[in-house]
Amino acid sequence: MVKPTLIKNNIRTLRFMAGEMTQAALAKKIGMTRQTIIAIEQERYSPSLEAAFMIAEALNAPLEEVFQYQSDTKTQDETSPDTK
Amino acid sequence: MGFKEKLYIAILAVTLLIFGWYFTDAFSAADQGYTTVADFGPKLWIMLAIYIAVVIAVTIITSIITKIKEGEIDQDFDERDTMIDLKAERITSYTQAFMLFGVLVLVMMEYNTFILAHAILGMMVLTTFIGFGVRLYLYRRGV
Repeated sequence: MVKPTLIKNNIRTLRFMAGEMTQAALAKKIGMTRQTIIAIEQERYSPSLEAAFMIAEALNAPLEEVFQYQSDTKTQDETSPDTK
Repeated sequence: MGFKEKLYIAILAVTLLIFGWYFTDAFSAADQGYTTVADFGPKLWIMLAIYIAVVIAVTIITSIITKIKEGEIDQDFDERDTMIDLKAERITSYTQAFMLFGVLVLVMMEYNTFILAHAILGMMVLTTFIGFGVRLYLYRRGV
């Protein structure tokens, strides 16, 4: 039923590491609703770029530590052309 | 489940009850051969008033509860709510256009005013119903 997103996050873990911040406190800090924070943590919603940066700033963590992008496509092999 | 989701469920339940009862009555009236709105008395006018009242009430209730909750949560409406609203409005507009076409077909087939009036009311109610239903679906499923 839940639509999966390709963006994973560690918000819950980082919240606890940031002085056991509650979802409501994080929501209030960045100007969003608690329901949206819950949806982001449960990966039912991918936040906008601005919101992602605000969350990272509120958790005092770099963006890459907060959000990770999981691509479904396989990595293509990089081959350099033969220049001879 | 958030406040908005509970409100939408309540709206859907009330809409289904009231208008479900009304259209059951209207269908049996159509079977009995009613051809004009006047044959049905003031019921259609009352249902139109109820529809408008429901729309206004939802707006007012949402505003009041938002004001009450302002002390608890500063933000009552954020980007996710906006995105869900926009997606629901888009789906609703497609549905409405399709239904409008259906009503136009009924007009061209020269159905009586009783049928046409109820087809239009049905279109309005169903569009509202679908709009709130889609919002609920997007809140639960994710967007």
